[in-house]
Amino acid sequence: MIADGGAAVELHGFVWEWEWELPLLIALLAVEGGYFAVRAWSARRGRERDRSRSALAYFTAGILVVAFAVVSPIGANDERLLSMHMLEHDLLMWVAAPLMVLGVMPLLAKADWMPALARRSVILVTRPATAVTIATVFVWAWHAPSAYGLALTNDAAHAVEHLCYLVAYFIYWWPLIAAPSVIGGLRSNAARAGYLIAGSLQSGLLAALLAFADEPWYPHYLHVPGATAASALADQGLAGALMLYPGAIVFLFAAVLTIRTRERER
Amino acid sequence: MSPHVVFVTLIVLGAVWTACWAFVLVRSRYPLPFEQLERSETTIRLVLLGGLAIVSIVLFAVTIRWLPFPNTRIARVGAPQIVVRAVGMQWSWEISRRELPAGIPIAFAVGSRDVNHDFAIYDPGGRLLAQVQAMPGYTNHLVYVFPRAGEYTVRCLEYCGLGHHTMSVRIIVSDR
Amino acid sequence: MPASARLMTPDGGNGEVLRASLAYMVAGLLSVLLMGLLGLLMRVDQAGMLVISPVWFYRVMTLHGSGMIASVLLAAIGGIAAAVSSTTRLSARALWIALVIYLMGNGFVVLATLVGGFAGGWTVLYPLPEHGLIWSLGSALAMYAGYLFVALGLLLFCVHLLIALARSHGGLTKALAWRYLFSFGRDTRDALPRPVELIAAVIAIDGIAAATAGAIYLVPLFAQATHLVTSVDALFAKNFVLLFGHTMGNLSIYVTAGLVYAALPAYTKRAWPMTWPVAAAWNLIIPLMLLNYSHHLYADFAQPLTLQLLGEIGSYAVALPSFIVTIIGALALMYRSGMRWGSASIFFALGLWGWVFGGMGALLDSTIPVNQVMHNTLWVAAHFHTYFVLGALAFALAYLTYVVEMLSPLAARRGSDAAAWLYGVGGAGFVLVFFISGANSIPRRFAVHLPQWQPYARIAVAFVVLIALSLAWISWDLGTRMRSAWRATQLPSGES
Repeated sequence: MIADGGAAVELHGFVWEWEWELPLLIALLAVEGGYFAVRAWSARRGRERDRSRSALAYFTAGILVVAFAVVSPIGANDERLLSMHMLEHDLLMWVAAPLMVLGVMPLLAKADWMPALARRSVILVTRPATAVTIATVFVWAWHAPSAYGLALTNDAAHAVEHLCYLVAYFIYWWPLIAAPSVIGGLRSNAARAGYLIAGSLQSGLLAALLAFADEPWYPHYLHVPGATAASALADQGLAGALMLYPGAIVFLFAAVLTIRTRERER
Repeated sequence: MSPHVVFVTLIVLGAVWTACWAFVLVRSRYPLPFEQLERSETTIRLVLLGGLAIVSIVLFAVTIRWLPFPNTRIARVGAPQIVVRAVGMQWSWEISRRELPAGIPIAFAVGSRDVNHDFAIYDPGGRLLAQVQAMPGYTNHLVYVFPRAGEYTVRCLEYCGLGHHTMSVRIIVSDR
Repeated sequence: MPASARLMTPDGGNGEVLRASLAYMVAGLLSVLLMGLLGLLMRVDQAGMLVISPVWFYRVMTLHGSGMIASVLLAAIGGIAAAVSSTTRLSARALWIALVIYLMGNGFVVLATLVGGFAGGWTVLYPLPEHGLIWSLGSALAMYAGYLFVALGLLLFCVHLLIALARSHGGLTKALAWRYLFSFGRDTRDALPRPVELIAAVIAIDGIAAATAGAIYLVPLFAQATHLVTSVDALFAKNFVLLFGHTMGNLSIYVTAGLVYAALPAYTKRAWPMTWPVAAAWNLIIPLMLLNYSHHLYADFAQPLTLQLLGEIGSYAVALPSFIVTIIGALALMYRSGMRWGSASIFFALGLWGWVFGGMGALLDSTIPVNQVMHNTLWVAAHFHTYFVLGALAFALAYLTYVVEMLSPLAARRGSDAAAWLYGVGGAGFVLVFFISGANSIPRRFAVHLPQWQPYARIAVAFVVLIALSLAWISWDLGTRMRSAWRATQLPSGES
């Protein structure tokens, strides 16, 4: 169903292939705990946020998506099929990351409780050109055959890879989701439109290169049991398509949701 | 219908238009209040509207007689005496008969094996004489009378992929 | 200056809309420059001067065609948004979202052709996309996705524009001045729309029709590509792809004609108000613009005769309102007006020339017996290049120049007038070569030209270089004034 040849995945068995990764789940719990801690700390400093409950829901949802991406059959098959690995990354970049941004945003509405160094770093990193560059570099670097191959063989590297995607897109979505009054928030619709175009362009280019490549990029997938050169290439094409089309739809929704009328800005 | 005649028509009409246009541009330097021009503007408009409408209708009526579609052509040149099957494919033509006589109506039954092509007949001097699209799933009939003997070329004139510009075939036309 | 001739409302309320419009126009024109370079590459290859492989020629050709249509239209609709914004309240949010979607569509097309290798021509004439021996089905799907996004962006823009115009005038029929129209100008109880507002409504309606035709065309293609249906009828496909694409291309000249109504009065110092002929002509264009696409199907003998004849009637008919009302009207506005000459007015004048000259070439080719000996030769390329280069694009450049003049305190550079005339010379020579080539039966869309055809392309290259030089100068001139123009749209307090 997923790819031609021997590496075809049968849906029936696929649904049951979950891979419970305890270290990851513990790490995610720790992050959730950290979120509660920061929330409590900022509340003690007198910042009662009306939207703190929905923010908590968003953040928790983001954490759950990360868990789902890695633990579900999608993530469990990421070393067998490039298309599943891509779907896993899509969930991290385009679902988990923006949810976590939404969860963190109210905490930082004015951010005067932040230490000066932290605040300056946030401002620096969320400048539009910097943010797009970071997202581009992180994602493109990890798609280099050597890096991608390393992540497939080394679990620690794989964890770092996923962390990089999360961080890269956390940074990317921040300027769009943040209101202009929040640090790092883009101030004009013109900036948002340009920012979205830049982001969708770099993502689309990488996706297209992958989708239309004539040769497999990652030798690892050629050596998966049951894989042939043809099936690996078809799987790679599908992976590229899974980055290209869902990505376009994500950016389209991002445009609809983040480009604002003037009234809402006030 | 000769392409060169069409071109000369364009140039003549174009020259008249260019002269009027240049006249307007040059005269823009001598101002006159607009109210003084409005009546002549309306007159010019009505005259042109009437004139162009009449020309359009006449032209339309005249062109009906010269339609290239099979029925009209046959009515003008007579029933075709030879039927040639031509099938276009990426990227060549399969023609049932490559040697044809001049001066008598010939029907080309044109089809396609894959994508859209265009069966276009060029005379020995490189002038386009007649054409019909080769459409997958359809057979289109082009009725044509070769004016004189010579080596005619059929080119594909509908973009059909990598070899589009290479799809040509020769037809030898001889006097009866 | 009368209220309707202002670009910005007194409270600066349409500042953000103007910024969005500038983004449309700049994005569109920058894209035109890039697509133009691709066009130059095509002519250079056909001239035998720098030969590229046929594979790459056809890819470049595909991108050039689709890219140019999309880019000129983008610049044009940006202009019309700016032109109506002083009297009709538009939503900057809708404009920005539509822009992002539209540009993403363009991005898909670039990726499909340059990365995916798709070379099916801008017409993506079914079933060619499925028979790409040099491109994969995946790249054809990416091309369709690009068209879908562009159609969606256009649809959003047009729907929003139509709703805004209807709201501003108290209903769509009032925005189209129907009461005034059908009473032959006697009933003026409703406040009449400005000509550019009525034109905006007309093109919005036809834009919605074109985008819808695009969706109707693309859905079966997607279904066929994913094997949900076995095949699509070739005749149906051709009718709809042209109803979509030809209308989109055709739309540009009508949109930019609206810009002439909006800005030419500023240079001729004469008003161009709503009159009965204007209302009549432009309302007629709504159906007529949609009819004439079928003049591209004369050689498809399987097309029903009624549609063939309707194509010829429609092509003749649509010329009349445009010529009698808009072109004569513009000439009358200029005649003995003491007109202020500058690059904007020069571009307007060039556009008028090209519209008529290209129209003559088009009318000749729309005559079925003539079409027999000109269809798919470079004559076809001649007529639409004239409409674009010395029509829609000239008008779009004129309007952008006008907007920058109105907003920026900086004056134009001294060479701009000369650059504009150079554009005219280059453009005229360039399209004349196409007409001559068509008269010599040189086919269009050939990657390789026979030796006897190459001299024509060589002459064309020289004229393209003139166009390029002119546009380089104009771009530099406008580019250096863009920042101050942008700033002028912002409120004094610095809010955006």
